[in-house]
Amino acid sequence: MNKDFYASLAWSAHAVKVWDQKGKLDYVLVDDMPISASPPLSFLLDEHRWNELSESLGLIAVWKYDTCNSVARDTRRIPVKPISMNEDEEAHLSQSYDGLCRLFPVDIYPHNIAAVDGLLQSIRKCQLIDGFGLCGTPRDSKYSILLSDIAIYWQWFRIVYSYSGLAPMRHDLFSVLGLWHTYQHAHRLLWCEFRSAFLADAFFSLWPTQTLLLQPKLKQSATFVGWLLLAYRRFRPQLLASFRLIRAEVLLYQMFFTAALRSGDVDDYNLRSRVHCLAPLFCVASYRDKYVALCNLLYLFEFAIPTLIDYGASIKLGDYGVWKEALKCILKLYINSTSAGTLTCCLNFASRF
Amino acid sequence: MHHVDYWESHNLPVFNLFSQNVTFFSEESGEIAISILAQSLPTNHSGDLKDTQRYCHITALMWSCSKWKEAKLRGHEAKLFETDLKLGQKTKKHRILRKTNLYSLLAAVLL
Repeated sequence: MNKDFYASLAWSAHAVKVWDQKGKLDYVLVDDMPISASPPLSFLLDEHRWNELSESLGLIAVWKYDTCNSVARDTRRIPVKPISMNEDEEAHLSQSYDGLCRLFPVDIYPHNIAAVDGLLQSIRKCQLIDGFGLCGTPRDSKYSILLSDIAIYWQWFRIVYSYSGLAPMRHDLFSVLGLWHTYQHAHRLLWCEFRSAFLADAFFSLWPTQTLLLQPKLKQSATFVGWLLLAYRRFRPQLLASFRLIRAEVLLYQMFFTAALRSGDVDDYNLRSRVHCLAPLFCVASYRDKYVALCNLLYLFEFAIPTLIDYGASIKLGDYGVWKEALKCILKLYINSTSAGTLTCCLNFASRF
Repeated sequence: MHHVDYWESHNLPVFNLFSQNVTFFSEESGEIAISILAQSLPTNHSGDLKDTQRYCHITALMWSCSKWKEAKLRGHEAKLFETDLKLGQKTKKHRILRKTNLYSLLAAVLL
């Protein structure tokens, strides 16, 4: 067996989900012209729109623990599924629309959809079945929906917006990133951000003999994160008290440091986080490290974990408004996490006090 | 996010489907199907495309059968499962992180 053999095993699975409720995919017309399914690039890159999104994300409170749905509904099921609050929710949850009931496998294609060639060939197969972007098919005046995972979605997004020859497909095809993959990926993000600082220690205290690579499997990660959120209720007051104490010490230290600068005892401002001459006064040798660590720990418990579980639960709940709010929160989590998880988190969090 | 906003602002059909049922757009079902396919495919057939395609077509059927067999083996669950089948529902494997007890209720009240 060689590399070519393994490459030949990279196939693509195609399935359809059958919608059993009211809904049509007919073209929407404006001035007798159908609207494109995919937004134009000018819409996606509009600066004003990005500013609006940025502002709306800024309004999302980092103190999410008290208001998050997973705590309010006491979500304890793994895989995450919220407890229903009324008959409608109960009826919806019992249908399991994300299960196998409405999924019908179509075929396995011998193409590697992770590669550009394989993606184009797989999409072509779908096109010949569904007719999007083609003329003279039974679905001529209808849109189509392509539901895919992150790798396929991102690859397709770049291709379809890069080549003008694919404009008919862009017009007809709603490319939707599968909602569950965002949840799965957010778990990976959480481990990347907090593994070395907090999560690995907690993981090994629970499972000392197990191996932890980048992240545990999703079910174990979801269980672990759920346990953390349950435990947080107990030690939250202590953590908040410690945070307030060290924040007061930091402020006091900075005041003394400023006084020392003015009096000439210290002449280099860049030493502010390393000068230990004042430390015995407060018994805080490395206050800055502790402060940042506590900020990150609070961010993990107050925002990151509730956001993650809320998003997972919102997919199952099926309420568009709840899901969109959860999506915004998880987008904020992603944006905050781009700077290696310390500085941005710290600044965002400190600004809340 | 911008895609969703675009669909919403133009009231496109996909937005109507989203607003009716977000859960439908979770592709967890696809992951489950692939997982079942991988588990059910005999090891000596797993490199064969035609065999895999054949198994793929009967994935949903195999899933129903495996659930039925599982329920049958568990005896008391079989009856429940038959009831589920009549209702068009299936028993599912899941775990609860912590059961509610008197102590946890007291702790919640005290905290």
